[in-house]
Amino acid sequence: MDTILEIKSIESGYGEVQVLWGISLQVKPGKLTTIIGANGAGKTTTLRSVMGSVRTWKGKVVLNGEDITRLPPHSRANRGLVLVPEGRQLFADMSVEENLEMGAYSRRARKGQKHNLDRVYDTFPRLKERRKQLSSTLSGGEQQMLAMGRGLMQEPLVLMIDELSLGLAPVLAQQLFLSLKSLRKQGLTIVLVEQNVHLALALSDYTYVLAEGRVEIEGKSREVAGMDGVRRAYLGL
Amino acid sequence: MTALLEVTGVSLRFGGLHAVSNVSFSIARGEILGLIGPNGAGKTTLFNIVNGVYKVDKGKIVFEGKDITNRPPNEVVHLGVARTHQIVKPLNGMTVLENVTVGACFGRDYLSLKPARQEAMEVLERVGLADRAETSARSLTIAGKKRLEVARALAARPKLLLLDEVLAGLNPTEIDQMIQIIRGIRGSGISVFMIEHVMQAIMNLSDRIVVLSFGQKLAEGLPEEVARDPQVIEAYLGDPDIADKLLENA
Amino acid sequence: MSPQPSTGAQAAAGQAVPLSSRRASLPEVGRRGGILLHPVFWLTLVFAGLMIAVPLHGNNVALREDLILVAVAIILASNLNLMIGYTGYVNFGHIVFYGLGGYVGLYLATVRNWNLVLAALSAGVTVSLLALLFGVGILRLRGAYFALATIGVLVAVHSFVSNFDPWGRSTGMYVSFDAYAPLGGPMRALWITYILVIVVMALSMVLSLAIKKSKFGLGLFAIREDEDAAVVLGINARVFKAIIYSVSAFLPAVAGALMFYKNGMIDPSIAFEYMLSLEGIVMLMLGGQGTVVGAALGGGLYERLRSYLLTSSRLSNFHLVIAGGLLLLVVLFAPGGLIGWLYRLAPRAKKVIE
Repeated sequence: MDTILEIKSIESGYGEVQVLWGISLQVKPGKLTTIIGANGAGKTTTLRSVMGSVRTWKGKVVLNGEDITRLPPHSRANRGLVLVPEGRQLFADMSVEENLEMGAYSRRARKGQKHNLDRVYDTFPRLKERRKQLSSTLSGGEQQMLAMGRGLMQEPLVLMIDELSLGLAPVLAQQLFLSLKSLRKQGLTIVLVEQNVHLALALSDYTYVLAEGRVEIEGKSREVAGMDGVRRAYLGL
Repeated sequence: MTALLEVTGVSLRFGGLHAVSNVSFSIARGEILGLIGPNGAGKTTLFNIVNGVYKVDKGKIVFEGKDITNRPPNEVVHLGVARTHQIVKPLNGMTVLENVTVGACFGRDYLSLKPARQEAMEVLERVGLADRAETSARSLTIAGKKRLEVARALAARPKLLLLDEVLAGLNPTEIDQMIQIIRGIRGSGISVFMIEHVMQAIMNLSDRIVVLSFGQKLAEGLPEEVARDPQVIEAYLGDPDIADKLLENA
Repeated sequence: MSPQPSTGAQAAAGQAVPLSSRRASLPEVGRRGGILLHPVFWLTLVFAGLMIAVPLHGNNVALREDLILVAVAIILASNLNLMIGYTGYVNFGHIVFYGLGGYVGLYLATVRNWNLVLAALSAGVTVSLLALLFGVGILRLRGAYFALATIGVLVAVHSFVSNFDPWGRSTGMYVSFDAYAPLGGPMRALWITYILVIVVMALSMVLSLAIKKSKFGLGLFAIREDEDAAVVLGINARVFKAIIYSVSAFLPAVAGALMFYKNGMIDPSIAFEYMLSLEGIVMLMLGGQGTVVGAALGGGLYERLRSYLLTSSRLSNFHLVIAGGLLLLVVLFAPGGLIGWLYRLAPRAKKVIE
């Protein structure tokens, strides 16, 4: 299969205000695809449109060959589309382990719950240490780990992450990025929105550069990294 | 030639957060100064300081030689500084004409009703809303509401116009139209201070650019210079060294 | 800027409900000829003229007593309209101006033996100045907090007066019959005060019209729509609000002075009837807040309904239930009241009926 997730000419926005003016992406299986762009370019709106939390005005979302454009978010999650949102949205009054178990809530993920839990603890030993702790007592980086872990518990086909490194101490950010790399090696398809352009380009296979709700540049990350166009997409000149 | 607006050493804290730290810059007559910076940099806060919505902890704002620091917004308008808002504030129950008439009535020249109404109609012609004069402000599209916001500010006959993200939410055609309107405003001798995230537009429109990041002025200069300034690039694209550090062991 | 609350929430918060398109209109700007040529001005003159001429001509005392209540309702509703309909600030304690005016006026006219007109005008001026003083304090508040503060003012004044010796504390004051002598005896005094009250009613309506068509009025409506935007547009909202609060106190105070003088007595419970304050709001909403005709219509109709209910043997206990019900219905389904409904049916009416 060539493309596991495809977004075709999506237009959407909030209320009266249109944010996306025709975004098209093709995500290849087992690859790490990143979406970068200045604030307001539409990166978060794109992920939320794919997930279904923001209604698509025009265009299509196709997962694994199936048109999921009209499906509500939970149905998309059941088909293996997982979003780790900006701001994490953890269950503050639940423990680490309970949060992870909530990740396996859907029918799809329930069977493999025990197995996946072990895998998450292997990937993030820190979470295992703190499994009984309330998630609100974790540090920023640990919460980000937990959010990712919960995402993994959903047995994703495609894991979408909105902002990984934002506000994290370098040591923890490093751990997270290394874990991303290893997940990718294990064959997981990842879509990453990342604030730091250099990180995004270094980490990913393929890059989309958004500006003002459109795809400005796309290509293999190594090639995109050399282009002045990236700077121009952010700074206009 | 003295500057129209002179901002010196302006600082404002909200609790522990330094929203704006020691920012200084000036705007000349007939100039378009663009204000850019990543989200949360303090741009709208700076606008709110200039037009008196917020009071500063430190610093001075001098307009046409007069100290306007900490003066309330309704006084600042009378002195010649008008402003639009990021989230537009139409006077919903009123018609388009009534909205703009309010601007003319209470602006710099404090016109009485009849001349204010005439001024309002003229301004509506300039921004292309004359045919919607009798419609209620509530019924306009987002592009219309933005134009109304600009018209209302223009009706006050300002010498300096503050535009806060006036292009946000507009489609490419509407953006072009608004750019023409802004050029027309500068052409009539009014200076423009504008915040914008639509980078291509602001970089092409502005005579000079000021870049704000985490409340501090990062750079100032011609658009071409600023766009290639390494500090500015880092503010937008992120720290290049982090990438190396984090992926060292990879 | 926070997202705008629903009309229901705004109404509940004590703010006038400006969002509905069914709401009564805003001033048509810069109309030629000023108010002297305005149909509503002439309507007011004719209406007031008839109210004086008809009962007077037939020496119809019963009719006069009915109509004076209508006139008072219109005075209260019209002046309350300046705060609620024009400026968007809901004054729940409006009746305090009427009651306090009654006290000052009655005191000056009977204890101090002042000329009635002078006493009434002085009452108006005194209460206006007090309102200015209070207003500067409470107008810093917005929405529900302002509304609560207006109740606070009412309660505070009521308590003060109940304990104020020179004004008879909770017993109040009486007018002896000789106090009516300067006017030619009680019978004539009743007619004279009646005519004066009608004049005050006409003044209330003309004042509302004049303000609505003025630049000051435009500023008030801007404050109602979006106070922060209004300030940024150059309107000194603090000053405007204080002025209109004070102005909205004047004529009700004058009317209070006249009415309590005519009734011959005053005490705290009848001067500061909390229910009347609320009913003033019902009248205004019913007729159509923001319009001159709406305030008058609402005042008149409601007063007639009220009188009918209070004298009906079966329904007198339900008078307040019906009032509350009406208010609810209007706020939920027709925030523009009767005039707002008229505007929907015939949009051209907006230019004529204000």
